[in-house]
Amino acid sequence: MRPTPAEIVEGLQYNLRADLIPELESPWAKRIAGNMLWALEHLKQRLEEEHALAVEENGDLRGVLAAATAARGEGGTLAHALASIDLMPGEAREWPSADDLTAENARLRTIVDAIVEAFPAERDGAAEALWREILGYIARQTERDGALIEINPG
Amino acid sequence: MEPETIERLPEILRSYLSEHLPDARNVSIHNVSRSPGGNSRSMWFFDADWEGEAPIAKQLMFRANESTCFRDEEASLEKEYRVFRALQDTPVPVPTNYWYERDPAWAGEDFVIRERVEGDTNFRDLPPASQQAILDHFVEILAAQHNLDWEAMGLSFLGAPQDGPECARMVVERWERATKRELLEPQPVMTATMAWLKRNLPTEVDRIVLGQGQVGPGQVLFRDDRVVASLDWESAFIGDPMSDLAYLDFMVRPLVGDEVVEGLIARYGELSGIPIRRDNMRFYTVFQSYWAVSACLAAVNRFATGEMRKTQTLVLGMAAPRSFLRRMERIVREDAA
Repeated sequence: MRPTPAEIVEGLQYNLRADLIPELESPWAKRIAGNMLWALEHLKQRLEEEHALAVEENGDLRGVLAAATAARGEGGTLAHALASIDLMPGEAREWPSADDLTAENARLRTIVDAIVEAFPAERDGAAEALWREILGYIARQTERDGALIEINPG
Repeated sequence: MEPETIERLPEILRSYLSEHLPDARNVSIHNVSRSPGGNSRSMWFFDADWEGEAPIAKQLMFRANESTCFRDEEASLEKEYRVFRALQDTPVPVPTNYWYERDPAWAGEDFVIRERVEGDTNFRDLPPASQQAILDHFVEILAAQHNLDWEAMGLSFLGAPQDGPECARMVVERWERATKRELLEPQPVMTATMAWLKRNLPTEVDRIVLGQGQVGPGQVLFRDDRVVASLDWESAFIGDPMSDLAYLDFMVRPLVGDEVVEGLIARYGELSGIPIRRDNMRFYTVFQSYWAVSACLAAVNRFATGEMRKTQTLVLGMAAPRSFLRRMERIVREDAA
């Protein structure tokens, strides 16, 4: 439907900037108005990008779990440390809704978080490679969140 | 605070002062305004006037218990009040805290009435000579603070470590518990950072001191290139002095540069008599990033669960911890390299 939600948010941003903020005198009110501008820009970014980023994030997590399954199969200290963790990622829906993606993300992140918590301090061979895989995921996840949060509301 | 309470605040303050100042008559309240500074608790500035005698300042502030990011388990208003009271008449300049009120009949929640000290907080825009003068004075205060006899001051209630190794272990365990309590979705970067912290716990501590937690510019008021009040004590702790020094380092190094910071650290060592332990400082730099994100998680939790659905809570919870998250991500990655 037009206007899109993002276009409506832009309208709200305009009114805040052009009509409301210039009329404000209290420093506290100005600060809150600035917070509202940030929240609107964040909302706009999420409307436009969150779905695609969530698909990417969940694919990334599935990659970590596949690597963990392979590394555990090689035995050793890592296999022992991860023995009690269910590494099965579960089914992914072909056309997931936002709620599906959120639920899937919570499930996958919970498993990866359990792997990080159980990870042995001494890392060699397969464990070292898996740890680098996990750190790569953490770096990409930080970037993805940053795209929605590190914004300039103007 | 509820909007109706905010609307009634001048009358609440007038009644409160009238009741607590028996020799003051016709108390009146003026210029009530919300403080735009500070991220954790809601504060209002106000002026009071009266006829007769009263042993308090007329420029005051009202600090409400309502917090965007702290829980009482880690940083209560009462704890902060007790630390402020203990610091009165020490070399650490603090505003006088007059009352800590628990009775919800007044404003629906606990609050503190405190002296309002005049001064500036905008350190970033000062000329370099003024920045240097303020930091020099601040380091004198920090060294004196770290030499206070916190047991004699009655501050053991903050939780006193038995020995050096317990200093870091106590704060790490406290904030790991807080993080697990507040998290609404798993954050592998937090878990990886906690693993780093547990692997790198400092064991050598030369003196167990009263620490402030959040230190330096932003937490002090200054006037004429001198610190006139140290404001933020809600994160006070008993532990390793290198924690405060690490916080000061990472807050001011980007503003004043390496040479100034190294001079400050050396001066702190001379004034305090406490050896500088760089490994401990590195540990606390990482810990403080974890701590900052953990505190912000409480804000996200409060917003998402409806406990405090206000944009200031949202922005603090989501935007404020980004630089700390990036720092933690970088450190765990460098550690693996």
